[in-house]
Amino acid sequence: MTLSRRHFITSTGLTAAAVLAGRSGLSDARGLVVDTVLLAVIDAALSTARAAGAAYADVRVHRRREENVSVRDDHPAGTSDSERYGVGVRVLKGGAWGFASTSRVDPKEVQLATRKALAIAMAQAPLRQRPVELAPTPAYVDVWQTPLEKDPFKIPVADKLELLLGISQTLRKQKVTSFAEASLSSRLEWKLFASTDGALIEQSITRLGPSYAVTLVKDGDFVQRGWDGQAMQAGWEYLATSRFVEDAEKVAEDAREKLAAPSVEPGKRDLILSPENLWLTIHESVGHPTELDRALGDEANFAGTSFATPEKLKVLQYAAPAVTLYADKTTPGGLATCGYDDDGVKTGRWNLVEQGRFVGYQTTREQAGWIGEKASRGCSYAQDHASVPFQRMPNVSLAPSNTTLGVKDLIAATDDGIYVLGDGSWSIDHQRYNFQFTGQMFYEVKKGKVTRALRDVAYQSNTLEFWNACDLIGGPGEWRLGSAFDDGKGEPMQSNPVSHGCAPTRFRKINVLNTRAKKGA
Amino acid sequence: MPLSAKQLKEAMQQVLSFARALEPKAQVFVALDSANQAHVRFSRNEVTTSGEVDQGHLAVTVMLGQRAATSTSNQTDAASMKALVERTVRLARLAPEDPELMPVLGAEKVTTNEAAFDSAIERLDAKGRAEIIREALGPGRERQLATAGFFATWSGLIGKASSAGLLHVHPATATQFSVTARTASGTGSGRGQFHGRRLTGLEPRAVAERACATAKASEGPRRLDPGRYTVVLEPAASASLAQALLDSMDRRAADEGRSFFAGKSGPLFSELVSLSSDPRNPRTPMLPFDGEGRALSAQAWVTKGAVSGLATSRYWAKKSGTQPVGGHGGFELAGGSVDRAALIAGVKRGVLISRFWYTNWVEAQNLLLTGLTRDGTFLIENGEIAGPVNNFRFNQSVAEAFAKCDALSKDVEAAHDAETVTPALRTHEFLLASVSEAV
Repeated sequence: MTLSRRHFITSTGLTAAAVLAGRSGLSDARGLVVDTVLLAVIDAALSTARAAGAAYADVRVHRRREENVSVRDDHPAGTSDSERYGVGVRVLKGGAWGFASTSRVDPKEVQLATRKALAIAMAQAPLRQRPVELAPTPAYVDVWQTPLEKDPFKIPVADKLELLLGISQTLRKQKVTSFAEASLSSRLEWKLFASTDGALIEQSITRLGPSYAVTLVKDGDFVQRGWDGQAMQAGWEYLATSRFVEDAEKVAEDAREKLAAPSVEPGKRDLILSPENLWLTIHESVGHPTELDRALGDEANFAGTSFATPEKLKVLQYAAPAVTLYADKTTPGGLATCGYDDDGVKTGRWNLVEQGRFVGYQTTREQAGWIGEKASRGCSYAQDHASVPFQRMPNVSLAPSNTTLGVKDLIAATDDGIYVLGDGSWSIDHQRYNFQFTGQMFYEVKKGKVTRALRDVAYQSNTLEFWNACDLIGGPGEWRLGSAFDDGKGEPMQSNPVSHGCAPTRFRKINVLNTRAKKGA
Repeated sequence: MPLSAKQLKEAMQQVLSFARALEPKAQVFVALDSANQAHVRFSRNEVTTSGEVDQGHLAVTVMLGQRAATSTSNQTDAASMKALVERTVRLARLAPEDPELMPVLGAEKVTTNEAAFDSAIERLDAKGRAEIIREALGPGRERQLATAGFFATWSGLIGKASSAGLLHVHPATATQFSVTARTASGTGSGRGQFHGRRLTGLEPRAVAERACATAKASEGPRRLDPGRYTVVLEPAASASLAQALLDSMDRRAADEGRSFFAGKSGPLFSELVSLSSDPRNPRTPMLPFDGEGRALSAQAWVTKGAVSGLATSRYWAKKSGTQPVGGHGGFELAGGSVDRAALIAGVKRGVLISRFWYTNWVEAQNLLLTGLTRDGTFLIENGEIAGPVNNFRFNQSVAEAFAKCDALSKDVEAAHDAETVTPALRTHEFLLASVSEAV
């Protein structure tokens, strides 16, 4: 959609009425911004910042809606609907940032918030050693929204509960004591962004998070098996393709098999990781280390730093040559997918690791110049109106091989290994070297065949050793997304939804632990 | 501006009245918080982001018999609150019956906990916050160490009301301040922190000095192999283990057989270990009521090594013929009888751990927790600190760690949050399972 921004750029200093008069075409085109107050709110923020001499300012009107429906065993366990709405204003003055927000979407309140942000920037400016500088970006005027067929918020809660109770019933068809939990989370993020650069961007993002798990208890022992499906940026139609209902019977069977399975023998084994397990390992060992703010120390007080420091760019052999890992805020269905980031930068795709070599970072407008890049990668995000935008992870994925290899082929090619499905426990150190993960189901692979289920499996490795031990990557046919609804980072901590795609992949001679070993894992 | 106490009370009553008009027989619960939050963040010895926000959070639960729904919003004008109530009633009417639903609580007397509020936090403005950061930036800049840190304040009111007459409005404040210092060599790191309900006691420069001192002391670590070690855990590290233990202490999970605590009785931990929550404990000032508005009193979780309480919801208490337990924000792991130096003096060979990072459950059956050491890990030899060593991943049963604890420091510290204090702790055969190259 091509929309003129000329009127907006020239009219932001005018009265709200004038702005509206000049923008009727845009409003008609979008059909979403029908509340005249919103444009007055934008004008109040930007004209106040300009009048005070701010080098830059942006304003976000942000609405988050979240509906959670859950069941436990044979009854509902909670139905909730939450909404947060407000305006966040960010100004750059005296070389420093200032931020303030209000939940009252009203021009006068926003003007007050802008003044507060200006005062904060000026109070902090003497404490900066280098002024903040922003990489240039075109001033986009556009709309973007999740492509969807059915809005999950329009599906009756009663239908959702019925669906979940049916799944729970299937999960509990067991001969031993069983407990089941199932839930559906629908999330809507709507935001209107404008900046003193002339950007005006409206986005509407819908995400759907289905999940369930069953716990079996027998003779003082218990196991849990959770569904492998993932949250997705999608409409209600996603459930029909996700096997949400169909998988329940298999998950129940898996739990029985897991309860009876022998405990794993620890040692070095080849691992075949399903996409529903490997996504989380990609997230922790590639997604976070390639955040530039982390690599340079901005997260040192909380999430930590990174081994992937700028002097290693284009030098470090991060992974085996077959491995290319890329960032992409345009991946269909990805939770971090959107049209523009919260700096107003158009989103795109770029490599982080190319044929094994470390080649790229995630950046924002403020950060691009730190490593001599001329443009931002579009990774700015704030979780809501009351949060400061900063660098957040895009979808980071492992490129599939140019083959038709699937998990059956990987198993057939493996002499002594473990096939891991689903995600479980996770942990990684504060520079992203040493990690440890578990999963949901584990199968012993001997001489090219799955021989039996195992339990109590964890794998532990070092990021560089692990990725350099990758020797077989599945093709595009089995490439799937896994996702984190609430990835935490920053102080105050903010939540970022993000996905990671990959095909089944093999890693050679990885350290496998037994989590119930008497001598310790 | 956050709402005043009067406005908060009126808003909650207005919500009840909207609900009564729609469904006169409904049971309704309202939770409304209104607060000012401010923060300053810095790294590489300069300020990065700084902000101030007014936050409101309104939650309305409507119960129609055993049918219920909850809606939340941050909009507290009359029209928005009315719409929220209407939406919640619509959802509740459609909800299937929930047999675990418990009636809303009625009027209950609680006394304001004055220790949970400090007007100095409420008055602090952007210039005041900048002054605190200016002091904190000194040590790093002077010693050529890269410091990063965070200062945050929260000041507001917390309200609960119900259609059965419950009405609480309580003021609260909190602050947290932390600094991490890293050496130019990239081989040393240290942290200092302050948590409190009051500004009193916050010495920004001293916190930064502690971080810098640990960073220098931990610079150039030598290689130490993984293995089982006697460890001395500083309060930040012992707090991570104690929090994990407390999180796992749930009566329903135990009764249903899916918990470490299922079928267990008698002392499970060292008799030196006592863990409790008390809103009136001056070291851990908490609100005097829980999230449902139920008045809280002192609760012992572990007394001299024996379990003396498992968190119990109101529903599970009714079903199991016990009393509701828990809902406290923080806790105290009781101090012991020795100085911190004595914990180290008693160790022939062991490891001093400043803090843990990225802890996560691995196995619920044996309370196996994993995580990493961070910001200062030191070898202890013959009762003295022999020097810095590499960091480790640990894989350790929390239950075993508390069972093998043989000493706790006399002093306790708020190294976790404003409602939690813990001492330094010594335990044995702690599994430092693999080396972490991270610094």
